Amino acid sequence: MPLSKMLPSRALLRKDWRMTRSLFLVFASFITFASTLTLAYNIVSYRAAEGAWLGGLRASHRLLESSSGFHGAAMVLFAIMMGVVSMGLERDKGTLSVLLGMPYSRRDILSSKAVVSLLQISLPFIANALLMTLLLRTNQGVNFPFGVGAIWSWAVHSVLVLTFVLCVTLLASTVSGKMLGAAFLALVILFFPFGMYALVHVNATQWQTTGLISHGQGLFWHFSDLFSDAANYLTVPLWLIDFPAVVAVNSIVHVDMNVIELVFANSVWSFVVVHPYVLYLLLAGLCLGLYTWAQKWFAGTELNMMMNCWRCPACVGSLA
Amino acid sequence: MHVSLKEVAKYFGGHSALDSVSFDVPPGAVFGVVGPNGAGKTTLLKTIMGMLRPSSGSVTVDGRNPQTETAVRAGIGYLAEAQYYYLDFTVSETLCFYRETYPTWQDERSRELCMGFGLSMRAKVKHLSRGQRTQLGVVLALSYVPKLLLLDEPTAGLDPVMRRQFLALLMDEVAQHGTTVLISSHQLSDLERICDYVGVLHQGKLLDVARIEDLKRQVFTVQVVLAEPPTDDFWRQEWMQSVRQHGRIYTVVAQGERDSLASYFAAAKPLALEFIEMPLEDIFIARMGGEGYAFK
Repeated sequence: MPLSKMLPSRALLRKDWRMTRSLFLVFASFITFASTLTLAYNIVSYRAAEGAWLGGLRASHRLLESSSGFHGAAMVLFAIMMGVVSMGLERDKGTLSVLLGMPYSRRDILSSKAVVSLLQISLPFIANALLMTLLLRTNQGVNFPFGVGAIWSWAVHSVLVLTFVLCVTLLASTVSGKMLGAAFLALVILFFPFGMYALVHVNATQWQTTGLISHGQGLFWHFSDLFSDAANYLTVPLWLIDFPAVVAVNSIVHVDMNVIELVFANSVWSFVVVHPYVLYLLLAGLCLGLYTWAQKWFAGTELNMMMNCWRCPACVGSLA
Repeated sequence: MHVSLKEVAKYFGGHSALDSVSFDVPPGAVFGVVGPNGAGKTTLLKTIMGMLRPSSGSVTVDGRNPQTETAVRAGIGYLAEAQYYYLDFTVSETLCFYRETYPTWQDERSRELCMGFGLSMRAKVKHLSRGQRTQLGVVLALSYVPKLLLLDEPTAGLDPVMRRQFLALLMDEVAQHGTTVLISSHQLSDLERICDYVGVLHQGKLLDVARIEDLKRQVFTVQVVLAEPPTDDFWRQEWMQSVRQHGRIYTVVAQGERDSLASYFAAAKPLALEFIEMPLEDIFIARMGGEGYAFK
C-alpha cells in the first residue's frame, strides 16, 4: 500500500494542526524553557564561576534522568489537553458532524488527530534534544555530568510516555466526546491509581509507627516500601518513566542510550537485566494497543449528538 | 444520483425518529421533505448522508451505502440547518479545507459565489453573521458540484432577496448538472416553486409521497352553494378534512379525485360548485390537521 494511502488526508492534517497549534506553541515553549534554555543558563553560570560550581548542570542532569515533580506533571497535563482538545473541540463545536458528512471515514478522522498530536508532542523534544546536543558539542571545555546519550534517551522516553498518555486520552475521548468528560476520564485513569497507592502507603506507615508491624521486617514492610517510591510519583506515566526505580527499591537507574543494559541494582530484582529497548518496545506496543482500541470504539460509536456518553444510552447525562 | 430508502427506521434510545420510511428519488429530481418540527426531517437527511446509521432498513445512493463507502460522500453536498464551521478559520482557510477534501472542487465557481454574496476571503468565520454563514454554506455546498444535494432548511437566516437568489442558483445547478436535490423547508411556497416531488413526514412516518401536481390534483378547496341545507351525514365523510359554513355557502377541504368529488356534491343539487386549487402550504396544514397536529 502506498504511503499516501496509509497516512490521513493532508486536508485533515492541516486542519487539525491549525486547530491545536496554540496549545502546541505553549507546550513547545514550556519544554524549551525547561530543557534547552535552562541548560544554556547553567552553562553560562558554570563559565561565570569558572567551573567552580556544577550545581546548575547537575540540575539539568536530574531533569534528563527523571521527570517526576512539577515538570513531569505539567508534561502529562499538556498531553492530556492535546488529546482532549483535538477530539472534544470538534464535538463541542459541532464540527464533528461536518466531518462525518465529508468523504472521510471515522478511522481517517481519528488517525489524523493522533498523527497531529503525536507530532506536536514529539517535535519539541526532538528540536530541544538537537539544540542541547549542539550546546554539548559547542561547549567542549565544560565538565558536563551527562552525555548526548542521556539527552536522547530523555527525548525518546518522554515522547513514548506522553504518547501513552495521548492514547489513553484518545480512548477516553471515544467514550465521551465532550471535552470535560474526556478530560475527567483521562485524569481518573492516569492519576487515580497513584492516589490509591499513596493512600495505602500512608496507612501502612501509620501501622508501622503504632508498632503493629516491625520496622524493616517481613513482606508487608517491603510492600509498603515499594509504595513509598510509587507514592512519590504523581501519575501512571511518570511511574512508567521511572519504572525501574519503583520496582527496584533504592536502585540506581541509568536509562541511557550509551548504557546498553538496564540493571536493577541493590534490590531483590538485581538478577533481572533488561535492555532499555525492551522497555521502549513494550511501551510502544501498549500505545499501539490503546490506539487500536480507541479506533475500534470510535468506529462503533453511535455518535448520537443528544447523548453525553457515546458508549451506551444508559449513561445519558452521567458524563459532562 | 438515485436515492433509495427501504424500510428505514432510526431510534435514539427508546425514541423513534424514523419509522419504516421508504421512497425513491430518481436522478435529477428535486424532492421536498415537509413536516412539522420534530417530524424527523433532519434525521432523514443525516441518514441519507451517512452521518447516522439506520437502526434498520437500508439507504443507498446509486446503489451504494453512503455510510460505509466514504467515496460516495464525495459526490454529496450537505447544507445543514445548524451551520457548524471552524470558527477561527478565515473564509479563505475554510475554502482551502474543502478544496483539499473534494477532488471536484471548482476554484473559479467558489470565487464567483463569494463575490456574488459579498463574502470577504479574509474575514474570520466567527465574525460572520448568521445569514453570511448560510451564504458560506451555500458556496461550500455548490463549489464542488455535488451530484446529490441535501439541504436542511437552507433558506433559514437568509433575507428574501438572498433566498430568491439561492433558489435561482439551485435551479441553475439542477439544470446544468442534473443534480438530484433533497430539500427540507418550512417555506412551502419555495418548495412548491422548485420541487418535482414532495414527501410529508410526521412523527417519523412518511404520510405521503407524490408529485406536486398529483398532490394538488388530489386535494381541493370546494366551494358549494346549496339552496337547501343537506343532512348532517352529508358532511361526515372521511375524505372531508374540514367544513366551514357562511349562510348557504359551504367551504370544504376535500381529498380525492375531482370527478368523484364533483358527482358527490352534484347529488345535493348545488346552485354553484367551484373547485379551487390549494397551495402546498394549505394542503400541508390540512394534512397535518387530519393527523391531529395542532397547538394544544
